[in-house]
Order: sequence, then C-alpha cells, then structure tokens
Amino acid sequence: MRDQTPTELPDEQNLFKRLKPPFEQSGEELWDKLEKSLTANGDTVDSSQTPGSRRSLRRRFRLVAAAAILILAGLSLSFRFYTKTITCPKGQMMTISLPDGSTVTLNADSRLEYHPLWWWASRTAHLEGEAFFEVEKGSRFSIHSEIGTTNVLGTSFNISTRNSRYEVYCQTGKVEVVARQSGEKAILRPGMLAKLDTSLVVQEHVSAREATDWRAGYFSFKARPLKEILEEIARHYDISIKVEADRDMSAQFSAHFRFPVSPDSALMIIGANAGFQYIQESDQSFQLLPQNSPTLFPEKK
Amino acid sequence: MLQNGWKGLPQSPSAGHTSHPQTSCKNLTKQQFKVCYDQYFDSIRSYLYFRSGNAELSTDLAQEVFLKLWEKKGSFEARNLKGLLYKMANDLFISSIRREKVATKYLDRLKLDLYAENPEEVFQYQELKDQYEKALATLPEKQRVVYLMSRLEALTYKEIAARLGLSVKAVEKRMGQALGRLRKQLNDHA
Repeated sequence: MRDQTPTELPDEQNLFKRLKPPFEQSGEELWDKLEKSLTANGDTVDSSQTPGSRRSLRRRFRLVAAAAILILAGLSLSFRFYTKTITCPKGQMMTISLPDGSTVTLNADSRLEYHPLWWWASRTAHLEGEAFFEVEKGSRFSIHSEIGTTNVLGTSFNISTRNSRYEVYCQTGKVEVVARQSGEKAILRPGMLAKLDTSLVVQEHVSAREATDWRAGYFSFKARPLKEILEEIARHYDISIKVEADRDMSAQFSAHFRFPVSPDSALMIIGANAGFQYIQESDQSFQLLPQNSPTLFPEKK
Repeated sequence: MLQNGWKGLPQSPSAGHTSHPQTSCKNLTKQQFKVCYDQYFDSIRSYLYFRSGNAELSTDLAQEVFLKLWEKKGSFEARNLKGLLYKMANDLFISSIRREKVATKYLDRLKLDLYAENPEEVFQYQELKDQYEKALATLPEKQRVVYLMSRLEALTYKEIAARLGLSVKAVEKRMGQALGRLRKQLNDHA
C-alpha cells in the first residue's frame, strides 16, 4: 500500500540534504559585478522615456552586460590561476592561514602552493615536504604531492613527503589518501597512519607523538633509517652533514627528544644511539667520522 | 519583510510626463534591490538550472533577470514580486533558446554537487546521486522543476504554486507524476 502513495524514493531525503546545484560562484560573489552594471545604467533611467529610446537603452544594457560577463570570465580565469607559494626554508617552521580559516604549519624545507583567489570555489593545494593541516569544515580540501594526494573535509592531519616517501597521519576527523601512481586509496581515522612505499599501507593506533611532535618542539624518530634522521636534523638546523661512504645509512634507530638549541647536541644524542662520532668543521657543517675512528669525544669549537 | 518594503511603491506617472528628480520615492533604492537580490537570486538561478541543466547559462540569465528588474524599477507593481521574477526568468529563458538554440531539449544528466561530511559518506551517496542525476534528466521539464523546488529548495507546495503561478493541485499532480517516473527509473536500474 505504501508504494501507491507518493512517499519517498530510496534514501531520497538523506541524499537531497547533501546536494546543491553546481554553481561555481555564489550569489554574494556575483553581486559585486552586478552592482557595477547597476550604477552604470540604472540610476539614470527615467520611466517617462519614449519606447524608442528605451529600446536603445536596453541594447546598451545588453552590451554592458555582455562586456561585464566577458570581463568576469577573464577575471575569473586569472582568479583561478593566480598562485601563491609559501616556502619554509631550512632551519625554520612556519604557520600560515588560508582564506577559509584553515591553518597549515610547514616544517623546515617545505613548500605549499595554492590559489588564494579561487579558494572559495575549490580548496586545492600542492605540498612538497612536511606540513600539519587544520582544515575548516566545508567543501572538499585536496592536497596534491608528487606521489600521493590527500582529500579531507574538515579535520587535522600531518603529511610528510620527502624524496620518495609519502606519509599521512590523521589526528582528528577523517582523511582519504590516494597513491597517485597506483590509484590505491585508504581512509584514515584518528590515530591511523598511511605509508606509501611500494604499496599503500595503513597502520593503526599510532600515537600523535611520532607523527606530529615536530610541532610541539621534538625530534621524534621511530625505527627510521639513519639517512632520514640525519636529513631531518640537517633541514631543521640548515646545516650540512657529511658522511663516509662505508657507513650503513639504512640502519634503523629510534629517538625522541626536544629540539636542542645547537645542532651538535642533536648529533651527540643520535651519535650515542647510532654509534658514530663526528667533528664540527664550521658553523654550518659537520662531518661524521669513519666507523673505526680512534677519537673518543669531539671537541666543541 | 520584503513584501512590506515593496508595498509602499506608488505607480509611476504615465508616459509623456517628465519626472522631477525630487520625487525619488518612485525609484527603487539600491538597498531594497539588494534585499530582493539576496532573497531570490539563488532561487531564480536554481529554477533556470532545473530547466536547462546548464550552470553558466542559468547564472547569466539570472543576472539578466535582476538587471531587467532594476531597469523596470519605477514602472511596475510589486504586488507579486516573486511571481514576477519567475515569469521574467521564464521569458528570458525561452527567448534565449529561440535566439541562440542554447538549451538542448534532451538533457544527458542533471549534474549536482554532493556535500558530505566525510569520504565515506561521499562513497555512500555517490552512486545514488548518479542514478538520480540520470533519472532527473528524463523527467519532463515541468515535473522536474516542481520536484527539485520541493526536494532541493525545500519549498512547500503552496510556495511553489505561488512562485510558478500554478494552483496547489497542479503542483501536487506534477509532483506525483515526477515521483512515479523517478521510482520507475530508479527501480529499473537498482
């Protein structure tokens, strides 16, 4: 009997709650352009005009409207493609606000590109390096990097992509990670971490400590190859670290400690862990000593 | 609230009389116009979209409607403003079809944007949305417009009737037809 009365179709109510016509600009955004056409022609219109002049006025309206629409199209094209690049150099961290209130904290040696004028239509950015995002609820927010893409709808998460590594940690909300080459997808909830290596792997119950403590002021390494640890330290202090060829750079170590003020303290801690010694050659450059070096403790210069 | 603002407008003097700049009450102020714009622009644009399935055309025509409204400001009765706006939109739509053959009679699908809370919801509703988009495109324009004004704009049948200049019974009939067709389309492809 229910089928005969015009009641609901499959999941109709839930669906239409979430639908909207696909207009690129909202009424408010279009108002400004419309307003300009008004002052150009509207104020001077006299209702007592003869029909003939009204027609020519109408034609002029059309031309102005057409011109306005052309300018609109040209403007919106430049709006769409105007790019802002935020580069966080080595030795620094930066936090920026995006036009919708979302914030991004960039770690050392990271770069974010986005289109600020097009932000209200589509929130898309390009990231190389590492950044922590806090995204305002709203339309889809996409961050593309060379090897992966992360899509979110209001949440906070960390993306770390250096060299051929792509890692995403979800802190709150839900995040979708896409491997660009293989097309593999994964959905992350808080505490989950996605790693893209040869394939996309998801780990659960990862603490925020490891993924996001860089923001709190800690070096946090969990079973990381020595190569990555040293690269991270080099980026953070903007120094160069030279290594002898015979050292095994893929050996893994774990460490968690506050950012020391000086780089050599950091190297001392890692060195104790990983079993290496080093010398400081200049303000900005360090050299790891070969494995069987006789020097016991390096001298501070 | 809007209606009160409009009711106060007096009729314009007949053609042939010169108007004095001091009698400004016959002119619509920009503020009143903006209030009207804020209230109805989205609806008019959506109405045009429900008919044509063309987002750019709908946006252009909707702006033209309001431009025309501004142009007419001193010379019409604002008794049924929303009815007037819809009528103007209809007239512009028809003349744009005739003029440029822009809107195609046959719609492939009526695209809609899906706003979901999270990626799982997107996944959940994506396919259903696809089915509805195709099904909606097969509806006759009259039925589709009424259906979408009801489901997307959440307007009552009474309100739809007032805007489109129909009786409530006529709206009910079109809704019933639309639902019947949609049910058939969705069941066939379910």
